[in-house]
Amino acid sequence: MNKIKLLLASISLLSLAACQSKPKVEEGKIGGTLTVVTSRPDADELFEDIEAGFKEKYPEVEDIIWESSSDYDADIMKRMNTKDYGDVLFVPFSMAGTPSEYENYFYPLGKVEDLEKKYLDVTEAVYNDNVYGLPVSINILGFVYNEDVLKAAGIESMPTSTDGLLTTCEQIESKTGATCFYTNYNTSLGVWAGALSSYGENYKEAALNGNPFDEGQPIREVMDLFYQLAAGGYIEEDPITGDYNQSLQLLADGKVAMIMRASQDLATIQALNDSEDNIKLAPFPTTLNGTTSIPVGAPGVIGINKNTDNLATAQAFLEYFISSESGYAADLDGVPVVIEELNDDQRALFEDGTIVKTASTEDAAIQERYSAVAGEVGIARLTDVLQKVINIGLYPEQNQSYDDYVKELQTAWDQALKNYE
Amino acid sequence: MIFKRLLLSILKYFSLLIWTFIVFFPLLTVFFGSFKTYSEFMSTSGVTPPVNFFNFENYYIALTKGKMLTGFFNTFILILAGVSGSIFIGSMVAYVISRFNFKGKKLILFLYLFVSIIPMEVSQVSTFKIITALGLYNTRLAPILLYLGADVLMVYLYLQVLEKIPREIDKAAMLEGASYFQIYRKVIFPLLKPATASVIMLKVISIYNDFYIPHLYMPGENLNTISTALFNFMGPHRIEWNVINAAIILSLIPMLIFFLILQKQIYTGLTAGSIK
Amino acid sequence: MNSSLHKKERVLIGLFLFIPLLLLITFGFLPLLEIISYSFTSWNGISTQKPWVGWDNYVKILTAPKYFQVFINNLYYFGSGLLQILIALYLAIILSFKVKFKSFFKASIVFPTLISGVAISMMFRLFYTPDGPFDTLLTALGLEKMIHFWLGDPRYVNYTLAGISLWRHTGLRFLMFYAAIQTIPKEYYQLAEIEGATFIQKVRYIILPNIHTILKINFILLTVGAVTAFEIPMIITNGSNGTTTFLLQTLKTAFEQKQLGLAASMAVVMIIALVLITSLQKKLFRSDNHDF
Repeated sequence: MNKIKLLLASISLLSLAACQSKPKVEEGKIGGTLTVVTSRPDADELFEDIEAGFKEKYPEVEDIIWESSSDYDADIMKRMNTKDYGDVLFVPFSMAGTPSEYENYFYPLGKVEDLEKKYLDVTEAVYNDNVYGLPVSINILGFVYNEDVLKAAGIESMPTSTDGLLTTCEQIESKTGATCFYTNYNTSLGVWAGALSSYGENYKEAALNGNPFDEGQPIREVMDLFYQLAAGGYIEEDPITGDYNQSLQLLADGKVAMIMRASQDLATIQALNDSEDNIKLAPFPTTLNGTTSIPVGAPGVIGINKNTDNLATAQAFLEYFISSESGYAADLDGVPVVIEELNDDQRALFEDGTIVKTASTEDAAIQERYSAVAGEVGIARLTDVLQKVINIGLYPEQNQSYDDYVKELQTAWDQALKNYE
Repeated sequence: MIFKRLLLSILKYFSLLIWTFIVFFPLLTVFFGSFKTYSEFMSTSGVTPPVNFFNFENYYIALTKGKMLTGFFNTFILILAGVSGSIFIGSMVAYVISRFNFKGKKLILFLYLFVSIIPMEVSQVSTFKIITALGLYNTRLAPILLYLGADVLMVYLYLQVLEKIPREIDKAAMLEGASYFQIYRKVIFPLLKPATASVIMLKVISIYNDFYIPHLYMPGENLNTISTALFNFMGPHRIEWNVINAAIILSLIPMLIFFLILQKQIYTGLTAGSIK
Repeated sequence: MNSSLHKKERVLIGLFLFIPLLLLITFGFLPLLEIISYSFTSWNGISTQKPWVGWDNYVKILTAPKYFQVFINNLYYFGSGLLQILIALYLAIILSFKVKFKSFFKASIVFPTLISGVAISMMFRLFYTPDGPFDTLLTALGLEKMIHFWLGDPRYVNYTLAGISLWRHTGLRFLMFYAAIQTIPKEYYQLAEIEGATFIQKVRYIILPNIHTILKINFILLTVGAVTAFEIPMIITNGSNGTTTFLLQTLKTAFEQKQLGLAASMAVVMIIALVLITSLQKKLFRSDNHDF
């Protein structure tokens, strides 16, 4: 009896502790407790520093509760079906397909034309000209390559077309024995979705008016590239057991010629070997209107829960987080988001460079129909498609042929288009 | 005859040794790896012993940076509450079902069975809403209640033992003036010890190793368990296999101790509790 | 007298069942009802609207073969489960006779059961890398020719994953069989000894008939486990390279492809299949009065 009583008592105690709500902060004042949800369970120390810095700036703030998940998108979506998903949180990338939903979950941070005067890349999470999330840092996507390997193979510069890339790979493999392209099958294929805009702007609209798997379409281009790389043996031997850390080391050591990453990784890779200037970033091997282009995008986008009861603090925190004061962008080796904080090189790049944004700027209605159709076909994640293409290229006898796979996708797409007329 | 015995004996030990080898070989490579530095780990084969067996650096990193210590604490709380809850709920439900005839008895058993064969992963979106509505999100109570909610195993284990306890014992106690509750508490519950031992063992194993529920319901600061701490080592970018190996070894130690200490009780418990 | 007894009974039943049933219904049953209701919508998991689509999802799943094709992968885990039962039974029988270092062997066999799925998956992810420990072992045994990309080659990857499942789950089955064998009265063996029964006769006429219930339970558990397998492929390959199982596909449909409605109907189909299989097996096995 006593034990049961004890158990019941402890259960009710525990639930009391759980129900205890945070003390309310007076409206408009910065202080109290703030809950921040991120996708970085590995960044505790960094977050501690950020918390300390923020509290120093706003002494009224009592505590920041950090909640992180490594399977962020899936987990936060479950949580967003309730009202309690933190005060400040990373905007899940999977919401990009349904921009009209932003207003149901996030607090509007301002109008595009106002914010873009102060920040870079403000259109990561936009609906009806309202911004619902700002980037935490900016990445410049591209091929990170080891110039020494290229030189050893007698190649002057990185190719600017898919065919050129294949010839380059052939030369590298035959003359140096290095692996030409490390796919990072398990971790980074998703980056390619961001690169699609390098292959053609407004590709979603084009896909809805035709078929994204027809020759020449961006997705098909990337698929063809991967198929040819895999079938030609220009990628790592066993991609499925690939290891991201190892790929960086191999690149630094010249055992791999190139990987698809972003500017943020340059410093890390350069630190892995002695010479500093042989690791470089090249744009995608494709030209759009005659020039190569550099896709830029955010590795994370941060927003405010529209149900927050501590709005002023949340706003102050968001501003603090994306400024260089927090050190978050620096930790990622990314380009800062605040325009004032750019250095000259960065400024030059953003003013003169041929930059394309990875965040789609197409009409919301088009994006939503595209997501619905892509979901129906089962290609909502480009990763799944590219993994399959790599498998086909590596093991042609164990899989359907590449042509059959493309045909299957084409048919599925046409069918799905009809369903979402 | 002697020859046949000898052959049988050889076969016996041979198969036992082979299986023991299969079990320990992968673990041995993890054990070796846990003492290696990162570059040593990447450059040597898994079966090569480490240069320095006293390199506890990885263990230190795993315990502090990897929050394994916090993990041990939280897991311990979950186990304590989850297991004792299971014992009460399991024995109470089983007692009522085995000793009384009432409407809906079969239905309750069916519900338990039904709910427990369904993988709980599929209904998490809904469960999540319920947990948040109750204000339990990011508390240790969330996993505890979920562990208790739908576990048919504990009810069945108790039922089996209860069926073997003669009803005459109940009647005798009742003639002495004991109430139903006293009978349950003073007479039946002590007799259920073997089943309790099995419940403890099975629940400890399953709670200790559960990853999905704590991962989903208590991602907050300092609320990680052993399993979620382990999983977080697999960050998208920073996989340090040598530290992961140390973390794996660390995660094994408590269970190994638990098992070695309670081994005898576990077998006798399962023996008495199991259905022939 | 009699009616007051009844009242006391009712109070006790109510008292004892209140909390357990409350928990069972809140956390077990309610979510399930909601999943069923989602299965008739085309909800994407985030939209505030959940458009009703009737039976569309079910029609889609049951007519397109691609949703059921992955069940072929579940068969690997079924095969692995059968092997687990065989190996566990064999080891349990051996260990119930006289053996030196019995405790050591028993503990070693059970040990993998105590390790978390996450740890096991990480361990084997390393174990099977090219030139990893497994390849080294094969080389040491002079079997270099058998080396493959164990996780990369589509011909072997599902066997590799099923092998990991074997390593992990044999211990628990052993535990059940061993415990069941211990309940057989010693007199049976003594009697058999007097009659001069051989080892095989003892197994056949004493052990097997006395543990058939636990065997049946294991077959049911095996089927349920095979249908719901997902953890090992999720952590090691995330379903790539043709390793998706039905449940993993369901989870990916829900949370990666954002088709929660469709995924819910897949879940419901799986639940119905599970209930059917379990009750069918129960019927087939119904030879004695124990129910499970």
